Amino acid sequence: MKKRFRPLPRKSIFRFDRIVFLTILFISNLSLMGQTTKVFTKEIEVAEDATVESNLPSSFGLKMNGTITTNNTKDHYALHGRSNEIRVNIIKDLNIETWDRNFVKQETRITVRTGSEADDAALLEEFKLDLKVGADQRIVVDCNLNMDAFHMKNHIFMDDDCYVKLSNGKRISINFIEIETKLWIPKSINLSVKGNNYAIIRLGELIGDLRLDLEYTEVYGTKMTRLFANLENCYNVVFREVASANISAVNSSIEIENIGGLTIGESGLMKNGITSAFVPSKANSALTKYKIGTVGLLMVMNSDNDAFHANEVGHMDVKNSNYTKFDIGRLNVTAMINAKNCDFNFALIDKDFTNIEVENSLCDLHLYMEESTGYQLQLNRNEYIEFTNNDSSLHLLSNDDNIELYQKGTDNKKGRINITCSRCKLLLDGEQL
Amino acid sequence: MREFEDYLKENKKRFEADQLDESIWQGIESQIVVKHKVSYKKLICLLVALIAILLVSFIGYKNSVKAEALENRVIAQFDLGQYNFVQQVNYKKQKLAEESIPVDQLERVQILLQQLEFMDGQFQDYTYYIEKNGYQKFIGEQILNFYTSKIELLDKIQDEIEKINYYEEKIQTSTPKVNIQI
Repeated sequence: MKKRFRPLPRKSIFRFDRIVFLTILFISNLSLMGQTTKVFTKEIEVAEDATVESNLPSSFGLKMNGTITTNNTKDHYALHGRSNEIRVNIIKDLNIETWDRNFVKQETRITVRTGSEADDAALLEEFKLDLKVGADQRIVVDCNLNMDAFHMKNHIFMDDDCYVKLSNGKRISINFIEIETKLWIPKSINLSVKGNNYAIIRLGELIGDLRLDLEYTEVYGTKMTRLFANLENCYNVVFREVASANISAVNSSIEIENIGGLTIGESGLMKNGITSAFVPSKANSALTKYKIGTVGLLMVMNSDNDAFHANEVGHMDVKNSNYTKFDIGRLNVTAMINAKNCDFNFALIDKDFTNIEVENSLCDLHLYMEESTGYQLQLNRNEYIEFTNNDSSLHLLSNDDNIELYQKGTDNKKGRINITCSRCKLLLDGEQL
Repeated sequence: MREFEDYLKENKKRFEADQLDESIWQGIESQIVVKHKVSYKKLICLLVALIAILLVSFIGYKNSVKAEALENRVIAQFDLGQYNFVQQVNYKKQKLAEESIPVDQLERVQILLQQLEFMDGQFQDYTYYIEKNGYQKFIGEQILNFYTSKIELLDKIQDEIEKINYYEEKIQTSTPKVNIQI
């Protein structure tokens, strides 16, 4: 009698949970019943130097009026109507796979629900996948086929009235639609992607050029040859390997593991086909975090308040930079720097470096010379420099009219450092020769 | 006394003032009227300007209160209250507003201050998106990133100002200082 309120054994709980789970699954599947799926596929042969231009699945026009709720996650965009029934589901990810064949293939999977299977089939017949090569060797991909927009309206006395408007103006009544697009392109082809609606692009290896004009979009790429990117508010742009990249970005995060040549802020940001500098400071790159593994040649053409981190840099050329912070794990050969208010931290400078020229103001400079590095340092004290020399082997050779000349070791052919700075802190670290 | 009376009678004409030309009187009169009119106009203009200033300040204040309320609502909606973002931003902005720098450095610091304005515009993008689409979980991640970047930017501005003033003190130039307009 005492064990009257004994809890249920674990097995029973699991069984109960399973029943609840299966019931929920059954109910959720009920709403998916009576819908038809069709996969639209088209493949066309293209020349090696052709260009594919694609929009994003989330570019689909949505026109709504009434009680509508959205469920927008990273990978899908769903619209619910008045009775909370799902009406639109767009798979936001655009997966672009590359292959060795000279064919572009688009696969768009469309699921619809109208009320009857016959109507579903008739409706699906209205959708057309139009993929062809233009006169200028361009292939324009529309991830949403010939659909112009999805319209939905409802009010207190009327349930959801939904229809799809086609590009030819025709309206088709519909209860539910789901769209998912995949692309396959030749590795050698040039690819251009434009979009601005919190989407994700996943890219395979590409030998041709990749051009990105994106806002609020994430990109996950693998191996690229040439990358041209205009990015605004793109928090995750990740590539494994890029031969050369030309990036203009505002308020974005870019991560590249290995890159041959990287040019930052050479041209203004492209917005709606118009090139313009970032309005607040007229810089072509601003408020962006660059995280790079190794880079052969880093060119910074125009940068305002970016943050640049690289594990290893071969050559570095900073033409015009304000307030940007450079954190370099290892510098191998040269650094030519013309900047203002930019802090530089070289955690290690290779013993075989050849030349470092710095012109800067209001900044902190830290140079850590590799063990057994012999070099010559010329310090032009323009206005005020706080010089902390922790390399006891570095000796002052001459001091003439605010130009100080130091040397470490006896080999005159060793690397040279020339620093012209006003209002700076210079910290030099090095080991005994 | 009699002599004095006689003298006055004889020289009566000399003591009488000459008749003034009517046109001079009219000129003076009209000028007085115009001056009155001008001062009334000035007063009205002054009042209108005052009302306009009060109205603009009131609208500005109301908008800022509304903006802060919206900001707090968005933060609560995305469960980001634990980070005290609004408090951190306000504290850092207030601290910056108290700072002053040499006048010749102000233009360069503007680069960073304008970036701050740009970021505020970005927040408006998010609120517009939320208004249009309702609560979306992934926007919470974007807002978290946004505040992290904004706080980093405010810290950067503070560091740069401290750096400027550190060297100003070392070199001791007599450049006049101005407040940061934030």
